[in-house]
Amino acid sequence: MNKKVKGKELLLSTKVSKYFGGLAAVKGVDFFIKEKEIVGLIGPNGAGKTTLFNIISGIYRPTSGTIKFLGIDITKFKPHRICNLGIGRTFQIMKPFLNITTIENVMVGVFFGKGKSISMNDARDEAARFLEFVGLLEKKDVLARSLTLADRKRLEMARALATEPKLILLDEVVAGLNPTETYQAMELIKKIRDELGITVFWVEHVMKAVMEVVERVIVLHHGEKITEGTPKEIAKNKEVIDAYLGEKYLF
Amino acid sequence: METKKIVSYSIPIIFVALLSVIPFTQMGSLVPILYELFLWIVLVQSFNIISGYTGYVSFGHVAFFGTAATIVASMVGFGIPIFLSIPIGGIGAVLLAVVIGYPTLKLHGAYFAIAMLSISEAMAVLVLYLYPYGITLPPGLYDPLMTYYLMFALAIVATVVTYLIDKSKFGLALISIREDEDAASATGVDVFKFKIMAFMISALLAGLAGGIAVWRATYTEAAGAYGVEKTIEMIAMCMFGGAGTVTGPIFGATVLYALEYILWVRLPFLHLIIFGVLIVATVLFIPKGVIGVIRKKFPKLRKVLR
Repeated sequence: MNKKVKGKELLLSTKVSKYFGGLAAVKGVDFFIKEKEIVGLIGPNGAGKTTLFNIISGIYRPTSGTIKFLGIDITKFKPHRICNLGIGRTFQIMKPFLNITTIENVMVGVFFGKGKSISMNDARDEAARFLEFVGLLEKKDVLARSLTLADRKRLEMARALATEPKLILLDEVVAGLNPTETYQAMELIKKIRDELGITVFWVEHVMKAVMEVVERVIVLHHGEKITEGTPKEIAKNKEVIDAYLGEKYLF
Repeated sequence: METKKIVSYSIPIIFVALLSVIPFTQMGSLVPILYELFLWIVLVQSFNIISGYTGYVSFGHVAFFGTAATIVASMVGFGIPIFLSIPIGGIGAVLLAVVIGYPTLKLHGAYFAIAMLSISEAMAVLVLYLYPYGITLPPGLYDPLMTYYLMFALAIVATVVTYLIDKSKFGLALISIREDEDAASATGVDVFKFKIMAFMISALLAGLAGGIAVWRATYTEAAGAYGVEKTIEMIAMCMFGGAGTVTGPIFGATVLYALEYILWVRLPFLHLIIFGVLIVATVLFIPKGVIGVIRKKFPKLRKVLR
Protein backbone atom coordinates (compact mmCIF):
# COMPACT_ATOMS: atom_id res chain seq x y z
CA MET A 1 0.00 0.00 0.00
CA ASN A 2 2.52 2.51 1.12
CA LYS A 3 5.89 1.49 -0.23
CA LYS A 4 7.16 5.03 -0.66
CA VAL A 5 8.61 5.16 2.87
CA LYS A 6 12.21 6.30 2.75
CA GLY A 7 15.13 4.95 4.73
CA LYS A 8 16.79 1.67 5.60
CA GLU A 9 14.77 -1.32 6.77
CA LEU A 10 15.37 -1.89 10.46
CA LEU A 11 12.86 -4.62 11.20
CA LEU A 12 11.42 -7.03 8.69
CA SER A 13 8.77 -9.62 9.45
CA THR A 14 8.06 -12.33 6.89
CA LYS A 15 4.97 -14.52 7.11
CA VAL A 16 5.06 -14.65 10.90
CA SER A 17 2.47 -16.91 12.51
CA LYS A 18 1.90 -17.99 16.07
CA TYR A 19 -0.53 -20.71 17.03
CA PHE A 20 -1.60 -21.51 20.57
CA GLY A 21 -2.97 -25.01 20.11
CA GLY A 22 -5.38 -24.64 17.20
CA LEU A 23 -5.87 -20.93 17.69
CA ALA A 24 -3.97 -18.56 15.42
CA ALA A 25 -3.00 -15.51 17.48
CA VAL A 26 -0.93 -14.12 14.62
CA LYS A 27 -1.32 -15.39 11.06
CA GLY A 28 1.12 -14.78 8.18
CA VAL A 29 2.01 -11.23 9.11
CA ASP A 30 4.38 -9.34 6.81
CA PHE A 31 5.58 -5.88 7.68
CA PHE A 32 8.66 -3.73 7.83
CA ILE A 33 9.85 -0.81 9.90
CA LYS A 34 12.30 1.73 8.56
CA GLU A 35 14.89 3.62 10.52
CA LYS A 36 13.63 6.65 12.47
CA GLU A 37 9.96 5.99 11.78
CA ILE A 38 7.18 6.12 14.33
CA VAL A 39 4.85 3.27 13.42
CA GLY A 40 1.59 2.47 15.16
CA LEU A 41 0.12 -1.00 15.52
CA ILE A 42 -3.63 -1.00 16.08
CA GLY A 43 -6.42 -3.53 16.11
CA PRO A 44 -9.36 -4.61 18.26
CA ASN A 45 -8.86 -6.58 21.46
CA GLY A 46 -7.39 -9.99 20.77
CA ALA A 47 -6.08 -8.95 17.37
CA GLY A 48 -2.63 -10.31 18.23
CA LYS A 49 -0.78 -7.05 18.82
CA THR A 50 0.90 -8.00 22.08
CA THR A 51 1.60 -11.49 20.75
CA LEU A 52 3.42 -9.90 17.83
CA PHE A 53 5.45 -7.79 20.26
CA ASN A 54 6.28 -10.88 22.30
CA ILE A 55 7.49 -12.58 19.12
CA ILE A 56 9.70 -9.64 18.14
CA SER A 57 11.20 -9.36 21.62
CA GLY A 58 11.83 -13.11 21.83
CA ILE A 59 9.43 -14.05 24.61
CA TYR A 60 7.52 -16.25 22.11
CA ARG A 61 9.01 -18.18 19.26
CA PRO A 62 6.77 -17.95 16.18
CA THR A 63 5.25 -21.18 14.83
CA SER A 64 6.49 -20.16 11.38
CA GLY A 65 7.99 -17.16 9.61
CA THR A 66 11.05 -15.06 10.34
CA ILE A 67 11.91 -11.77 11.99
CA LYS A 68 14.98 -9.91 10.80
CA PHE A 69 16.52 -7.02 12.65
CA LEU A 70 19.38 -5.11 10.98
CA GLY A 71 19.48 -7.96 8.48
CA ILE A 72 20.07 -10.55 11.23
CA ASP A 73 17.57 -13.37 11.65
CA ILE A 74 16.53 -12.99 15.30
CA THR A 75 13.61 -15.44 15.18
CA LYS A 76 15.29 -17.92 17.52
CA PHE A 77 17.15 -15.47 19.74
CA LYS A 78 16.52 -15.26 23.47
CA PRO A 79 15.04 -11.99 24.79
CA HIS A 80 18.29 -10.73 26.32
CA ARG A 81 20.18 -11.19 23.05
CA ILE A 82 17.50 -9.31 21.17
CA CYS A 83 17.79 -6.54 23.75
CA ASN A 84 21.59 -6.57 23.39
CA LEU A 85 21.19 -6.21 19.62
CA GLY A 86 19.09 -3.10 20.08
CA ILE A 87 15.39 -3.72 20.63
CA GLY A 88 13.99 -2.33 23.88
CA ARG A 89 10.41 -2.77 25.03
CA THR A 90 7.80 -1.85 27.61
CA PHE A 91 5.01 -4.11 28.79
CA GLN A 92 1.26 -3.62 28.53
CA ILE A 93 0.90 -5.10 31.99
CA MET A 94 3.71 -3.07 33.49
CA LYS A 95 6.61 -4.97 34.96
CA PRO A 96 8.75 -2.55 36.94
CA PHE A 97 11.10 -4.11 39.51
CA LEU A 98 8.81 -3.11 42.37
CA ASN A 99 11.02 -3.56 45.42
CA ILE A 100 14.01 -1.54 44.27
CA THR A 101 14.29 2.19 43.67
CA THR A 102 13.41 3.91 40.43
CA ILE A 103 17.04 4.62 39.62
CA GLU A 104 18.07 1.03 40.34
CA ASN A 105 15.41 -0.11 37.87
CA VAL A 106 17.01 1.99 35.17
CA MET A 107 20.52 0.89 36.19
CA VAL A 108 19.60 -2.67 35.22
CA GLY A 109 19.14 -1.38 31.68
CA VAL A 110 22.35 0.65 31.80
CA PHE A 111 24.39 -2.36 32.97
CA PHE A 112 22.87 -5.14 30.92
CA GLY A 113 21.36 -3.53 27.83
CA LYS A 114 24.69 -3.53 26.08
CA GLY A 115 26.70 -5.55 28.62
CA LYS A 116 28.76 -2.52 29.61
CA SER A 117 31.33 -2.82 32.36
CA ILE A 118 31.13 0.48 34.16
CA SER A 119 31.27 1.40 37.83
CA MET A 120 28.20 1.59 40.05
CA ASN A 121 28.53 5.39 40.27
CA ASP A 122 28.83 5.89 36.51
CA ALA A 123 25.81 3.65 35.98
CA ARG A 124 23.89 5.70 38.52
CA ASP A 125 24.77 8.94 36.70
CA GLU A 126 23.77 7.49 33.38
CA ALA A 127 20.50 6.13 34.77
CA ALA A 128 19.76 9.60 36.18
CA ARG A 129 20.06 11.02 32.65
CA PHE A 130 17.36 8.67 31.37
CA LEU A 131 15.14 9.44 34.35
CA GLU A 132 15.53 13.12 33.56
CA PHE A 133 14.63 12.45 29.93
CA VAL A 134 11.30 10.89 30.89
CA GLY A 135 10.73 13.43 33.67
CA LEU A 136 11.11 11.15 36.65
CA LEU A 137 14.36 12.42 38.13
CA GLU A 138 12.90 13.81 41.33
CA LYS A 139 11.57 10.34 42.16
CA LYS A 140 14.85 8.54 41.62
CA ASP A 141 15.20 7.23 45.18
CA VAL A 142 11.58 6.17 45.57
CA LEU A 143 10.72 2.47 45.47
CA ALA A 144 9.09 1.63 42.14
CA ARG A 145 6.25 0.12 44.18
CA SER A 146 5.07 3.56 45.28
CA LEU A 147 4.95 5.13 41.80
CA THR A 148 1.65 6.08 40.18
CA LEU A 149 0.42 4.39 37.01
CA ALA A 150 1.67 7.23 34.81
CA ASP A 151 5.07 7.22 36.52
CA ARG A 152 5.38 3.46 36.20
CA LYS A 153 4.83 3.81 32.47
CA ARG A 154 7.55 6.44 32.33
CA LEU A 155 9.84 4.23 34.36
CA GLU A 156 9.31 1.37 31.91
CA MET A 157 10.25 3.69 29.09
CA ALA A 158 13.34 4.95 30.92
CA ARG A 159 14.45 1.39 31.63
CA ALA A 160 13.98 0.40 27.99
CA LEU A 161 15.78 3.54 26.78
CA ALA A 162 18.68 2.81 29.14
CA THR A 163 19.43 -0.31 27.12
CA GLU A 164 20.28 2.11 24.28
CA PRO A 165 18.02 0.51 21.68
CA LYS A 166 17.78 1.31 18.00
CA LEU A 167 14.12 0.30 18.06
CA ILE A 168 11.76 0.63 21.00
CA LEU A 169 8.53 -1.33 21.26
CA LEU A 170 5.93 0.53 23.30
CA ASP A 171 2.97 -1.55 24.44
CA GLU A 172 0.00 0.67 25.36
CA VAL A 173 1.91 3.39 27.12
CA VAL A 174 -1.07 5.76 26.99
CA ALA A 175 -3.95 3.48 28.01
CA GLY A 176 -5.36 4.47 31.39
CA LEU A 177 -3.77 7.92 31.54
CA ASN A 178 -5.68 11.16 32.05
CA PRO A 179 -5.65 13.80 29.26
CA THR A 180 -2.65 15.73 30.62
CA GLU A 181 -0.62 12.58 31.13
CA THR A 182 -1.65 11.36 27.68
CA TYR A 183 -0.41 14.57 26.12
CA GLN A 184 2.90 14.29 28.02
CA ALA A 185 3.33 10.68 26.91
CA MET A 186 2.70 11.66 23.28
CA GLU A 187 5.30 14.40 23.54
CA LEU A 188 7.72 11.95 25.10
CA ILE A 189 7.28 9.49 22.25
CA LYS A 190 8.04 12.20 19.71
CA LYS A 191 11.07 13.20 21.76
CA ILE A 192 12.36 9.63 21.77
CA ARG A 193 12.53 9.69 17.99
CA ASP A 194 13.50 13.32 17.45
CA GLU A 195 16.12 13.73 20.17
CA LEU A 196 17.47 10.22 20.63
CA GLY A 197 16.97 9.08 17.04
CA ILE A 198 15.29 5.87 18.14
CA THR A 199 12.74 4.17 15.90
CA VAL A 200 9.38 3.66 17.62
CA PHE A 201 6.92 0.81 17.13
CA TRP A 202 3.85 1.50 19.22
CA VAL A 203 0.80 -0.58 20.10
CA GLU A 204 -2.05 1.56 21.31
CA HIS A 205 -5.77 1.50 21.86
CA VAL A 206 -6.21 5.22 22.34
CA MET A 207 -6.86 6.17 18.72
CA LYS A 208 -6.60 9.90 19.17
CA ALA A 209 -3.08 9.60 20.57
CA VAL A 210 -1.78 7.18 17.95
CA MET A 211 -3.27 8.96 14.99
CA GLU A 212 -1.69 12.24 16.03
CA VAL A 213 1.83 10.95 16.61
CA VAL A 214 2.57 8.18 14.16
CA GLU A 215 3.54 8.42 10.52
CA ARG A 216 2.34 5.02 9.52
CA VAL A 217 -0.18 2.59 10.95
CA ILE A 218 -0.36 -1.18 10.66
CA VAL A 219 -3.76 -2.72 11.37
CA LEU A 220 -4.19 -6.23 12.75
CA HIS A 221 -7.51 -8.03 12.92
CA HIS A 222 -7.96 -11.63 14.07
CA GLY A 223 -4.21 -12.08 13.84
CA GLU A 224 -3.95 -10.94 10.25
CA LYS A 225 -2.67 -7.69 8.86
CA ILE A 226 -5.64 -6.16 7.09
CA THR A 227 -3.98 -2.98 5.91
CA GLU A 228 -1.39 -0.31 6.55
CA GLY A 229 -0.95 3.32 5.62
CA THR A 230 -0.82 6.86 6.90
CA PRO A 231 -3.23 7.74 9.70
CA LYS A 232 -5.42 9.59 7.19
CA GLU A 233 -5.64 6.63 4.84
CA ILE A 234 -6.41 4.31 7.73
CA ALA A 235 -9.14 6.51 9.10
CA LYS A 236 -10.90 6.41 5.74
CA ASN A 237 -10.33 2.72 5.10
CA LYS A 238 -13.66 0.93 4.96
CA GLU A 239 -12.28 -2.39 6.21
CA VAL A 240 -10.66 -0.78 9.22
CA ILE A 241 -13.73 1.21 10.07
CA ASP A 242 -15.84 -1.91 9.94
CA ALA A 243 -13.39 -3.97 11.95
CA TYR A 244 -12.45 -1.56 14.57
CA LEU A 245 -12.99 2.13 14.55
CA GLY A 246 -16.76 2.07 14.39
CA GLU A 247 -18.74 3.64 11.61
CA LYS A 248 -18.95 7.08 13.12
CA TYR A 249 -15.22 7.64 13.56
CA LEU A 250 -14.19 10.82 11.78
CA PHE A 251 -10.60 11.90 11.59
CA MET B 1 30.31 10.76 58.13
CA GLU B 2 33.74 9.41 59.03
CA THR B 3 32.73 8.38 62.53
CA LYS B 4 29.74 6.59 61.04
CA LYS B 5 32.06 4.60 58.86
CA ILE B 6 34.35 3.75 61.75
CA VAL B 7 31.41 2.57 63.84
CA SER B 8 29.92 0.45 61.08
CA TYR B 9 33.25 -1.24 60.43
CA SER B 10 34.31 -1.67 64.02
CA ILE B 11 31.16 -3.47 65.19
CA PRO B 12 31.79 -6.57 63.07
CA ILE B 13 35.52 -6.48 63.86
CA ILE B 14 34.88 -6.45 67.63
CA PHE B 15 32.45 -9.33 67.22
CA VAL B 16 34.95 -11.36 65.22
CA ALA B 17 37.69 -10.72 67.77
CA LEU B 18 35.50 -11.73 70.68
CA LEU B 19 34.28 -14.89 69.00
CA SER B 20 37.86 -15.86 68.09
CA VAL B 21 39.10 -15.84 71.66
CA ILE B 22 36.02 -17.37 73.28
CA PRO B 23 37.34 -20.97 73.27
CA PHE B 24 40.19 -19.86 75.56
CA THR B 25 38.07 -18.01 78.07
CA GLN B 26 35.70 -19.05 80.82
CA MET B 27 32.92 -19.05 78.24
CA GLY B 28 34.54 -21.93 76.40
CA SER B 29 31.46 -24.05 77.05
CA LEU B 30 29.63 -21.87 74.54
CA VAL B 31 31.75 -23.21 71.70
CA PRO B 32 29.40 -26.04 70.63
CA ILE B 33 26.45 -23.64 70.65
CA LEU B 34 28.33 -21.01 68.67
CA TYR B 35 29.58 -23.62 66.22
CA GLU B 36 25.99 -24.66 65.57
CA LEU B 37 24.98 -21.03 65.15
CA PHE B 38 27.74 -20.45 62.57
CA LEU B 39 26.55 -23.52 60.69
CA TRP B 40 23.08 -22.03 60.53
CA ILE B 41 24.41 -18.68 59.40
CA VAL B 42 26.26 -20.34 56.51
CA LEU B 43 23.22 -22.37 55.49
CA VAL B 44 20.86 -19.41 55.69
CA GLN B 45 23.23 -17.14 53.73
CA SER B 46 23.54 -19.88 51.15
CA PHE B 47 19.75 -20.21 50.91
CA ASN B 48 19.45 -16.43 50.83
CA ILE B 49 21.52 -16.07 47.65
CA ILE B 50 19.31 -18.27 45.49
CA SER B 51 16.02 -17.66 47.30
CA GLY B 52 16.28 -14.21 48.91
CA TYR B 53 18.09 -12.43 46.11
CA THR B 54 17.16 -14.46 43.04
CA GLY B 55 13.65 -15.38 44.21
CA TYR B 56 13.91 -19.13 43.59
CA VAL B 57 12.76 -20.76 46.81
CA SER B 58 14.88 -23.86 47.18
CA PHE B 59 12.75 -26.25 49.20
CA GLY B 60 15.40 -28.93 49.10
CA HIS B 61 18.43 -26.82 49.85
CA VAL B 62 19.69 -29.37 52.35
CA ALA B 63 20.58 -31.58 49.35
CA PHE B 64 23.83 -29.64 48.88
CA PHE B 65 24.73 -29.93 52.55
CA GLY B 66 23.92 -33.63 52.69
CA THR B 67 25.60 -34.57 49.42
CA ALA B 68 28.84 -32.80 50.36
CA ALA B 69 28.75 -34.42 53.80
CA THR B 70 28.34 -37.86 52.22
CA ILE B 71 31.12 -37.22 49.69
CA VAL B 72 33.52 -36.00 52.38
CA ALA B 73 32.77 -38.89 54.72
CA SER B 74 33.25 -41.52 52.05
CA MET B 75 36.45 -39.88 50.77
CA VAL B 76 37.95 -39.76 54.23
CA GLY B 77 37.02 -43.42 54.45
CA PHE B 78 39.20 -44.02 51.38
CA GLY B 79 42.09 -42.39 53.20
CA ILE B 80 41.97 -39.00 51.53
CA PRO B 81 42.98 -36.20 53.95
CA ILE B 82 40.10 -34.19 55.41
CA PHE B 83 41.51 -30.87 54.20
CA LEU B 84 41.38 -32.16 50.65
CA SER B 85 38.02 -33.87 51.07
CA ILE B 86 36.14 -30.76 52.21
CA PRO B 87 36.86 -28.69 49.06
CA ILE B 88 36.07 -31.74 46.92
CA GLY B 89 32.77 -32.06 48.76
CA GLY B 90 32.10 -28.40 47.98
CA ILE B 91 32.85 -28.96 44.30
CA GLY B 92 30.55 -31.98 44.37
CA ALA B 93 27.75 -29.75 45.66
CA VAL B 94 28.44 -27.24 42.86
CA LEU B 95 28.29 -29.99 40.24
CA LEU B 96 25.01 -31.17 41.74
CA ALA B 97 23.71 -27.59 41.43
CA VAL B 98 24.62 -27.52 37.75
CA VAL B 99 22.95 -30.87 37.07
CA ILE B 100 19.83 -29.91 39.04
CA GLY B 101 19.82 -26.31 37.85
CA TYR B 102 19.77 -26.93 34.12
CA PRO B 103 16.30 -28.47 34.08
CA THR B 104 14.80 -26.95 37.24
CA LEU B 105 15.83 -23.30 36.98
CA LYS B 106 13.57 -23.08 33.95
CA LEU B 107 10.64 -23.67 36.31
CA HIS B 108 9.04 -20.86 38.25
CA GLY B 109 7.73 -20.39 41.77
CA ALA B 110 6.13 -23.40 43.38
CA TYR B 111 7.29 -25.73 40.60
CA PHE B 112 10.92 -25.05 41.40
CA ALA B 113 10.28 -25.47 45.12
CA ILE B 114 8.60 -28.85 44.58
CA ALA B 115 11.28 -30.02 42.15
CA MET B 116 13.97 -29.19 44.71
CA LEU B 117 12.06 -30.97 47.47
CA SER B 118 11.70 -34.13 45.39
CA ILE B 119 15.32 -34.07 44.27
CA SER B 120 16.50 -33.72 47.85
CA GLU B 121 14.30 -36.60 49.00
CA ALA B 122 15.45 -38.74 46.07
CA MET B 123 19.08 -38.06 46.98
CA ALA B 124 18.31 -39.12 50.56
CA VAL B 125 16.90 -42.43 49.33
CA LEU B 126 19.92 -42.97 47.11
CA VAL B 127 22.35 -42.31 49.95
CA LEU B 128 20.33 -44.54 52.27
CA TYR B 129 20.61 -47.31 49.67
CA LEU B 130 24.38 -46.81 49.28
CA TYR B 131 25.12 -46.44 53.00
CA PRO B 132 22.26 -48.05 54.95
CA TYR B 133 24.19 -47.76 58.22
CA GLY B 134 25.58 -44.31 57.63
CA ILE B 135 29.28 -43.51 57.45
CA THR B 136 31.50 -43.18 60.49
CA LEU B 137 34.75 -41.26 60.14
CA PRO B 138 37.97 -43.00 61.26
CA PRO B 139 38.75 -42.41 64.95
CA GLY B 140 41.18 -39.70 65.97
CA LEU B 141 39.91 -37.17 63.47
CA TYR B 142 37.59 -35.31 65.83
CA ASP B 143 38.82 -31.74 66.34
CA PRO B 144 36.29 -29.45 68.03
CA LEU B 145 38.51 -26.38 68.02
CA MET B 146 39.51 -26.61 64.36
CA THR B 147 35.95 -27.23 63.20
CA TYR B 148 34.79 -24.29 65.32
CA TYR B 149 37.24 -21.94 63.62
CA LEU B 150 36.56 -23.35 60.16
CA MET B 151 32.81 -22.91 60.51
CA PHE B 152 33.34 -19.45 61.96
CA ALA B 153 35.54 -18.53 59.00
CA LEU B 154 32.99 -19.94 56.57
CA ALA B 155 30.20 -17.91 58.20
CA ILE B 156 32.31 -14.78 57.68
CA VAL B 157 33.08 -15.74 54.08
CA ALA B 158 29.39 -16.42 53.38
CA THR B 159 28.44 -13.03 54.79
CA VAL B 160 31.18 -11.20 52.89
CA VAL B 161 30.18 -12.94 49.67
CA THR B 162 26.56 -11.90 50.26
CA TYR B 163 27.68 -8.33 50.95
CA LEU B 164 29.70 -8.23 47.73
CA ILE B 165 26.74 -9.59 45.77
CA ASP B 166 24.40 -7.10 47.42
CA LYS B 167 26.35 -4.05 46.30
CA SER B 168 27.33 -5.28 42.84
CA LYS B 169 25.97 -5.39 39.33
CA PHE B 170 25.68 -9.17 39.76
CA GLY B 171 23.33 -8.68 42.71
CA LEU B 172 21.26 -6.18 40.76
CA ALA B 173 20.83 -8.80 38.03
CA LEU B 174 19.69 -11.37 40.60
CA ILE B 175 17.21 -8.93 42.13
CA SER B 176 15.82 -8.01 38.71
CA ILE B 177 15.21 -11.74 38.10
CA ARG B 178 13.43 -12.02 41.44
CA GLU B 179 11.27 -8.99 40.73
CA ASP B 180 10.26 -9.91 37.18
CA GLU B 181 12.05 -12.42 35.05
CA ASP B 182 10.47 -11.41 31.72
CA ALA B 183 11.26 -7.76 32.30
CA ALA B 184 14.82 -8.60 33.37
CA SER B 185 15.30 -10.63 30.23
CA ALA B 186 13.85 -7.87 28.02
CA THR B 187 16.25 -5.45 29.72
CA GLY B 188 19.23 -7.50 28.58
CA VAL B 189 19.85 -9.70 31.62
CA ASP B 190 20.92 -13.21 30.61
CA VAL B 191 18.59 -14.65 33.23
CA PHE B 192 19.58 -18.28 32.93
CA LYS B 193 23.30 -17.57 33.27
CA PHE B 194 22.78 -15.50 36.40
CA LYS B 195 20.42 -18.02 37.97
CA ILE B 196 22.82 -20.90 37.48
CA MET B 197 25.73 -18.83 38.83
CA ALA B 198 23.75 -17.86 41.92
CA PHE B 199 22.75 -21.49 42.39
CA MET B 200 26.38 -22.63 42.15
CA ILE B 201 27.65 -20.09 44.70
CA SER B 202 24.78 -21.03 46.98
CA ALA B 203 25.56 -24.76 46.64
CA LEU B 204 29.27 -24.22 47.27
CA LEU B 205 28.62 -22.53 50.63
CA ALA B 206 26.13 -25.18 51.76
CA GLY B 207 28.48 -27.92 50.55
CA LEU B 208 31.50 -26.59 52.43
CA ALA B 209 29.33 -26.37 55.55
CA GLY B 210 28.34 -30.01 55.03
CA GLY B 211 32.00 -31.03 54.85
CA ILE B 212 32.95 -29.25 58.05
CA ALA B 213 29.81 -30.52 59.80
CA VAL B 214 30.58 -34.16 59.03
CA TRP B 215 34.09 -33.68 60.33
CA ARG B 216 32.75 -32.37 63.61
CA ALA B 217 29.99 -34.97 63.91
CA THR B 218 32.36 -37.75 62.71
CA TYR B 219 29.26 -39.49 61.43
CA THR B 220 26.64 -38.99 58.73
CA GLU B 221 23.50 -40.80 57.67
CA ALA B 222 20.89 -40.11 55.03
CA ALA B 223 18.04 -39.17 57.38
CA GLY B 224 20.09 -36.57 59.23
CA ALA B 225 22.07 -35.20 56.31
CA TYR B 226 19.00 -34.71 54.11
CA GLY B 227 16.46 -33.86 56.79
CA VAL B 228 13.70 -31.72 55.33
CA GLU B 229 13.37 -29.93 58.68
CA LYS B 230 16.83 -28.43 58.04
CA THR B 231 15.53 -26.78 54.88
CA ILE B 232 12.44 -25.56 56.69
CA GLU B 233 14.58 -24.05 59.40
CA MET B 234 16.71 -22.27 56.78
CA ILE B 235 13.56 -20.81 55.23
CA ALA B 236 12.21 -19.74 58.61
CA MET B 237 15.46 -18.08 59.67
CA CYS B 238 15.91 -16.36 56.33
CA MET B 239 12.36 -15.03 56.17
CA PHE B 240 12.26 -13.97 59.79
CA GLY B 241 15.54 -12.06 59.53
CA GLY B 242 14.90 -10.64 56.08
CA ALA B 243 15.34 -12.40 52.76
CA GLY B 244 17.47 -10.54 50.24
CA THR B 245 19.47 -8.65 52.86
CA VAL B 246 23.02 -9.25 54.17
CA THR B 247 22.32 -8.97 57.88
CA GLY B 248 18.86 -10.59 57.85
CA PRO B 249 20.14 -14.18 57.76
CA ILE B 250 22.55 -13.49 60.66
CA PHE B 251 19.77 -11.93 62.69
CA GLY B 252 17.24 -14.61 61.81
CA ALA B 253 19.65 -17.47 62.48
CA THR B 254 20.75 -16.00 65.81
CA VAL B 255 17.29 -15.26 67.17
CA LEU B 256 15.61 -18.45 66.00
CA TYR B 257 18.54 -20.66 66.97
CA ALA B 258 18.64 -19.12 70.44
CA LEU B 259 14.88 -19.57 70.72
CA GLU B 260 15.11 -23.13 69.51
CA TYR B 261 17.91 -23.89 71.95
CA ILE B 262 15.97 -22.53 74.91
CA LEU B 263 12.72 -24.22 73.90
CA TRP B 264 14.27 -27.49 72.91
CA VAL B 265 15.72 -27.95 76.35
CA ARG B 266 12.45 -27.20 78.11
CA LEU B 267 9.78 -28.25 75.63
CA PRO B 268 11.13 -30.84 73.21
CA PHE B 269 9.11 -31.09 69.96
CA LEU B 270 6.96 -28.13 70.93
CA HIS B 271 9.64 -25.87 69.44
CA LEU B 272 8.67 -27.13 65.97
CA ILE B 273 5.09 -25.96 66.54
CA ILE B 274 6.33 -22.58 67.69
CA PHE B 275 8.52 -22.40 64.60
CA GLY B 276 5.51 -23.11 62.44
CA VAL B 277 3.55 -20.34 64.11
CA LEU B 278 6.49 -17.98 63.64
CA ILE B 279 6.73 -18.75 59.92
CA VAL B 280 3.02 -18.09 59.46
CA ALA B 281 3.23 -14.87 61.48
CA THR B 282 6.30 -13.72 59.53
CA VAL B 283 4.65 -14.33 56.18
CA LEU B 284 1.45 -12.59 57.28
CA PHE B 285 2.81 -9.61 59.16
CA ILE B 286 6.43 -9.01 58.20
CA PRO B 287 7.03 -10.73 54.85
CA LYS B 288 10.24 -8.75 54.47
CA GLY B 289 11.56 -9.92 57.82
CA VAL B 290 12.78 -7.89 60.77
CA ILE B 291 15.71 -6.33 58.93
CA GLY B 292 13.44 -5.59 55.97
CA VAL B 293 11.00 -3.76 58.23
CA ILE B 294 13.78 -1.75 59.88
CA ARG B 295 15.16 -0.79 56.46
CA LYS B 296 11.71 0.31 55.38
CA LYS B 297 10.95 2.31 58.53
CA PHE B 298 14.33 4.02 58.60
CA PRO B 299 15.45 4.70 55.03
CA LYS B 300 18.52 6.48 56.38
CA LEU B 301 19.83 3.20 57.74
CA ARG B 302 19.65 1.55 54.31
CA LYS B 303 23.23 2.33 53.41
CA VAL B 304 24.63 0.90 56.66
CA LEU B 305 22.19 -1.92 57.34
CA ARG B 306 22.29 -3.93 54.16
